Amino acid sequence: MQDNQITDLTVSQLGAHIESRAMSPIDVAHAFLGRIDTVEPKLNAFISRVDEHALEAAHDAENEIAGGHYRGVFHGIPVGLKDLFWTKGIRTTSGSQIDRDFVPREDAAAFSKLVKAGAYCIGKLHMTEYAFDGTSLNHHYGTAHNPWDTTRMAGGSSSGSGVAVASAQVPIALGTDTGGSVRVPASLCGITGFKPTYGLISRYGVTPLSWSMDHVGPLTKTVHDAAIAINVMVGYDNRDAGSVQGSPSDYVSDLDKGMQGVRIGVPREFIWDMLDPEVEQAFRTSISQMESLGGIIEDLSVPALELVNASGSVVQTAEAATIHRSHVLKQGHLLDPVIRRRIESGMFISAEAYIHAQQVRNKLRNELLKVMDRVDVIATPTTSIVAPYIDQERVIIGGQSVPVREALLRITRVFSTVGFPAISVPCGFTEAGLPIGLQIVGKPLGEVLLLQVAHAYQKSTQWHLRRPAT
Amino acid sequence: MTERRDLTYEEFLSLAHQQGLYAGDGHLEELFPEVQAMIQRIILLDGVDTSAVGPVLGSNITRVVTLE
Repeated sequence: MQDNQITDLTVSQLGAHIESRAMSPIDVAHAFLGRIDTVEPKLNAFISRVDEHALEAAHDAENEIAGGHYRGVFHGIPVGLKDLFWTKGIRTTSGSQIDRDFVPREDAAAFSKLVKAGAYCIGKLHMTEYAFDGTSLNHHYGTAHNPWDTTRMAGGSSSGSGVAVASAQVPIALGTDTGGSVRVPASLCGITGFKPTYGLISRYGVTPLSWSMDHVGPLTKTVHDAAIAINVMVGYDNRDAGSVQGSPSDYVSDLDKGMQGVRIGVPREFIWDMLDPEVEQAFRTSISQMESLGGIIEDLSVPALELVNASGSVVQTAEAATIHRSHVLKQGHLLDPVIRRRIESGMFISAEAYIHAQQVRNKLRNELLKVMDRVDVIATPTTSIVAPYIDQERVIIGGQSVPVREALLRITRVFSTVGFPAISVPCGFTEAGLPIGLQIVGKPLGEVLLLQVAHAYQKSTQWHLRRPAT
Repeated sequence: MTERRDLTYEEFLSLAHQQGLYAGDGHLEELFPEVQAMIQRIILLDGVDTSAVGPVLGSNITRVVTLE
């Protein structure tokens, strides 16, 4: 098989070839490293490459498998990591100048589970500084470029994760999502991005932005790959204060059950207020498609989503200011001035205002749960717009001038704030060839049904099979 | 009861000084609008009655949803 055919495969396809010994993990590593050599100069998806480490790990996998010790579908699979996942012996910058020389002594919990399953790190991926921005701009490490149009943003903060998967530099990447940072780059780059329920995957060993809102999630070519990754990474971890206790489910076995009779709520308000016409058209088509697959579409009144976002913003910024206070005071000159001001604004939030924002957040979360009694999942566009130009600050939607960051994050932020699981899958392209994302949201710990619905939709379309020309 | 109001620039400078924030190169002038925007979000939330909501922090997931 040619190298470009290898890098086009999903994790489950690669795993099947490796298990059958039709493909060596060493061939897989060489194919992806070659792909990185070819496209990385145009895209800037990586902060650190670890080619020697990757080849050594691939050789180890090859020897283990040859010795009859095949560990499962992730054995011999390279993984790209947003550069805030700690990696033992490999520097982890968190996209900052301040932490440019930080070399952790252990792996992040989520990644260590993948390593135990036989995967290895092929490189540390671009991100916005301390994950505090939804674009793909980074003052210190340059801009990650969208592979569908390199003059455009890739979305963030897990920018490199979106770019690297979409451009076939890695078959899977891990990202984090505090306001949409897995789903936004997935949407803008035309791939699948999954944020599970808050606390389902341990955040131990992940540089935090906001303790009560950070989530870990995979970016993949398909929903099926996201499900197999979740199967490996879930589980209670007493080192993460937000970790959920309970027995993990099997997220793969029900994937093919379809969406016959599944009630899909479409919000009547909020999402339509600010929506690019081509995104709206693709979203409406995807709803019709889900209906044709047996889904029952319900018109849903979901009140006060703007307030959910306001509470999320106050909580996130106050927590970020607490986490980064010493950075601001002692090394503020090393921060991107935009990120610095964003962090500092959290220092003006009183304890009373923070706790009130948490109360509002919980109240609205409970109200949203009641609304979801009527449906099984909610569907929305992932982002209000497609990928903006790299230097674009504002965008015109329906005659309104809106900040790009708000247009990118306003829909995803709602479901990070309430902690519900949410996935973005490709649902179309604009006339200019830019990807559009469909977001499907489940109930807390409702990942099995959510993935089932997303998989059924994805299987019925061809959008996820398109590849950028880059 | 007096409602929460926006900060004046002088009040902002006083708080910034108390926090130990860097005051050079026009930095605080650029920070002020960000802080004003944050205060506006807080004022928006002041309108939500939370008298019946406990001070639960985080989005604790205490309920496993049973799937049909």
